[in-house]
Amino acid sequence: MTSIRATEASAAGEASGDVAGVDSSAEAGGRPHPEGGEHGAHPSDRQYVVIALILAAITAVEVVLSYWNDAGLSAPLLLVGMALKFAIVAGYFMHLKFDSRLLRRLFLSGLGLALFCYIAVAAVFHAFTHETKISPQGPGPVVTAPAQLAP
Amino acid sequence: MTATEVPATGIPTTRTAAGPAPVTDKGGHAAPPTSTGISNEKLAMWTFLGSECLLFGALIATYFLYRNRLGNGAVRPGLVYDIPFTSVSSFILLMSSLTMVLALAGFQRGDLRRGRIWLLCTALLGSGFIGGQVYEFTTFIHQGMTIKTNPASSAFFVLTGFHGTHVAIGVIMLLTLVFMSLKGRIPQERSEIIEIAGLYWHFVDVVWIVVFTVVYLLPGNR
Repeated sequence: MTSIRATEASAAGEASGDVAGVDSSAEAGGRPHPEGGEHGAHPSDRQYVVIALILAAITAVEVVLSYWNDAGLSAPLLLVGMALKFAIVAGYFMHLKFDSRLLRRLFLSGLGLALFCYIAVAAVFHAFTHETKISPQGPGPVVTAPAQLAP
Repeated sequence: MTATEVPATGIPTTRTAAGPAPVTDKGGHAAPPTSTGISNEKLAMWTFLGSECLLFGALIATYFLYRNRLGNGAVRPGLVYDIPFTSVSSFILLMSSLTMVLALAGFQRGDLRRGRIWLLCTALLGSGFIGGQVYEFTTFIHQGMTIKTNPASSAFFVLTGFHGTHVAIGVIMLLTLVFMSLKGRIPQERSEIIEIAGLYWHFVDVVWIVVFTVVYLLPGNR
């Protein structure tokens, strides 16, 4: 992660507009942003591979956690892992970390609105508990015990 | 009195008698000639992705609402999940994001051949993910869980099916880009097209990161 941060530091030097130095800066650890500007350099190919390996490792940990019987501990850890992966992909692969702040705000406002809106709706309907108080399909029994597989 | 200059970046900047016009960003560097400093296409894609958050948020919330509505003794989605198989599918989609950024890097560097190869790899990985989802759906149906079995299975199939459709659209988009590049219609200067398609692809990946965790892995689902 330190080397990724180093690419941001190199952004100032790349901002001089030395387009011919694209490849050399890639070797050094980052490529200048095609739009130039206040935002930092994109990671190099090698750094992208490292980021992908980190994502794969988090996924592997998540899968192992899902088999853990302690739901009280595994659920929050799974959500943290999910948020971490989300942030890494959006920040580095989608370049939100390096692009204009306007794009970041645009995306985060949609995301924030969705989170607020649907968590509120789900909470109103008690979706985070096993009992759904207000039946979305009208009156009827709520089955909470795991059903048997069909033959 | 104005004069347009085309610097080495290939993006024109405008100079007036009073000095440089505000066609540059805060860093004083050439930027697309828009009031935001961001190309309209890229801004449109980000706006679209912001709205897509609301679409998938609705589908995920619906799944949460219906996941315990099983009807009378019907199959619960969590009982038919094959976590190792879906984990491999998730890994494939995650790696397709890597090949996508490598494709973009190739196009931005002017290495069009390498960019095309990575684009093709991304499309293949995406196709692999769709193939896995088709296999998964077929298995679930054989085990007695169809879209009509109960509200929980409906919510599951609609959510994952919508995501799969997005992946399929992404694969078509990527193959179109490969074809356009082979025709010489995506030179280095137009690499932003690849970036915009890449944004869509990464978003599809990001959505799957959420779906995989909340639908497949969270303890309450199984």
